[in-house]
Amino acid sequence: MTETAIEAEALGRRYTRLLPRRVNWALRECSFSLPAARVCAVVGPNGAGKSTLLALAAGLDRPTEGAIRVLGRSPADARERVAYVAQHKPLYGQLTVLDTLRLGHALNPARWDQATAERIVAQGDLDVTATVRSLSGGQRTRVALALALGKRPELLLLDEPMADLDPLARHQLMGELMAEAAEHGTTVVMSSHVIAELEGSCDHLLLIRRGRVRLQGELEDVLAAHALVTGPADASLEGHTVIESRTTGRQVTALVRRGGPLPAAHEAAAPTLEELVLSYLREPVA
Amino acid sequence: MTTTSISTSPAGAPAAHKGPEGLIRTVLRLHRWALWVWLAYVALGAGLLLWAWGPALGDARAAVDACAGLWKGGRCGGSQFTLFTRYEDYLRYGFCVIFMAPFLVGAWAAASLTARELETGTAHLAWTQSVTPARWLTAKLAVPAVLVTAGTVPLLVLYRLAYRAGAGLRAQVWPAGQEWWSEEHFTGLGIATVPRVLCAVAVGVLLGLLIRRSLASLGTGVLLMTAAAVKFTVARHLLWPTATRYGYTHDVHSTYVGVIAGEWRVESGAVTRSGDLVPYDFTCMDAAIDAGRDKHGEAEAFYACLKESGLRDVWVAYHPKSHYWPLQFAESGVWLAVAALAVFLSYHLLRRRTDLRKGAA
Repeated sequence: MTETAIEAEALGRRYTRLLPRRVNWALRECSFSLPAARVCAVVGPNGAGKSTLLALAAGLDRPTEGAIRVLGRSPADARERVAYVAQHKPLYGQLTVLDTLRLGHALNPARWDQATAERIVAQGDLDVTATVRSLSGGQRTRVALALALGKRPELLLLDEPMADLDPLARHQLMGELMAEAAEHGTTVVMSSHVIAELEGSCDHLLLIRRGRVRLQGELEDVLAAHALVTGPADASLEGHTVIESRTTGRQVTALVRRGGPLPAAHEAAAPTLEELVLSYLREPVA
Repeated sequence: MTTTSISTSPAGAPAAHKGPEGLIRTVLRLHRWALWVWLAYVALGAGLLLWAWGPALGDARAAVDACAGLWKGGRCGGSQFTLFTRYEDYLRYGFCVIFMAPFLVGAWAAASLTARELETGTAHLAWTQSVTPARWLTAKLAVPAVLVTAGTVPLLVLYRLAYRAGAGLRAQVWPAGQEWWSEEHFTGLGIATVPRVLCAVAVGVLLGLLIRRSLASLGTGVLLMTAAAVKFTVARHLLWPTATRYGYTHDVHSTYVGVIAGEWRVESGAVTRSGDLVPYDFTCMDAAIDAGRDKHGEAEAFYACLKESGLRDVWVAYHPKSHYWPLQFAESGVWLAVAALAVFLSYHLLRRRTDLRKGAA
């Protein structure tokens, strides 16, 4: 798959507060490329710049420097083909679920797929005549997703989609989302700091920390390129990039990016996604 | 509970119709409550004015007719007078509805149109549908603009009709005539309310985009509208150059010295021997009025008194009745200019924050 869904080049977004004056780079020098028709995870700690990145891709914000292209166009030109669900699932509280779907139809006359939107809502076992205000967090998320999927997007941007759901609802909704995405070949780019939510559903990883891209690539490749090694503390790990290491007595446990065959003195294991991500997040800032 | 009750449009939407209907429908639906309240408000104003025009004026006319023979010159008093003031009261209530409209519209526009959408994040929801933020803003400006105009114009027409219907009667009861420059006459009988409500919408939208918080935006909007209304009430006379007249004038019907009834006195004073214009309190009027008891020599007495004070003449700067419409248009122009600026800034602000361009297919 060579087609790209999102391409960023030296992307930067600066926020300036006037009083007291403070300049903060939410994103800086981010260059990456996310493939189309995949499920991409954007991971990073709170405040890493994940939301900023997704807002830039959705055309809700403008980069301070650099460029971002979505489905080969500018975010504004791709607006009709992209759906976005913001972190807090903003919806019009005074509208009923039914009215919310009507709004989706009215604002996306050329693309709206009522059947898909209805199906997502129906699976949630909620009263369509209830106002959005009266829904629970999980139900709201479901309606927000129904609105996004009803647009039949080619690219679906989800900002912490499952953050406020219980594990059961999260599992169910994620399953439905993945099924919809797979059926229509939709590219999904989703940010999260709950790594467990991504394992098993993501193909591609983009790790952001302090506004910069730390790691990116196909999940399998990324995992294969790293190893969790355990060995004597005095043995050299030269040639490998140590991301994180912990010494207990004379033993050292380290997560390394392989630079070749690992030394024989070490015991190597494949890291899990969670171990990998946590190591990168704990890595001291250079 | 299952959801079998959904029955909207068929799946696979029909051929792309890219008109603004969807957006207009959405704006109307989102602000349905405001629409109902506005309709009720306009109905209230219309009711009051219709009441003034119909029953209240009928009662007043009957009462004045009944006493016409009793009082010399048709002047009435007592209960007949009360009936006439009741008509005027209803007219005044109607005026209050008209006068308050820009404040209410401004408060609502500032709090609800854009501020709330940005505060709750629903603006981002709207901007990531197929409509561009620019078209969203256009709908947010145009739909309320049309509706507030459609509500305000009939009220103004009704006020004018109700006022005109009682004009003959008013001349009988108040021979001195009305002060056409008073807020009531200026706002009620003029057109400036329409630019005012339009400006209220535009500035409200801008404040919402700037402040992005409902309550703060509402407060700022009301404050600005109040400041502007007060400013116009006290300084409206500056909107058009005044006429100046020299010489002694005494009109018994006028409430001001030196002017004829129906003229809006702005400034007055005296002319010194060297030709300078200086402030003057018209104390010599007393001498003139004393002299005028025998209907002769009023002006002579006045000028004689003036000469003793070392002055040559008096002057008055005033707006004649013919300045009514120029003043109306000037004020309307100011409101519309502010509205246009607010609209421009709103688009500018949105353009800076988001990517406005329309996606090409």
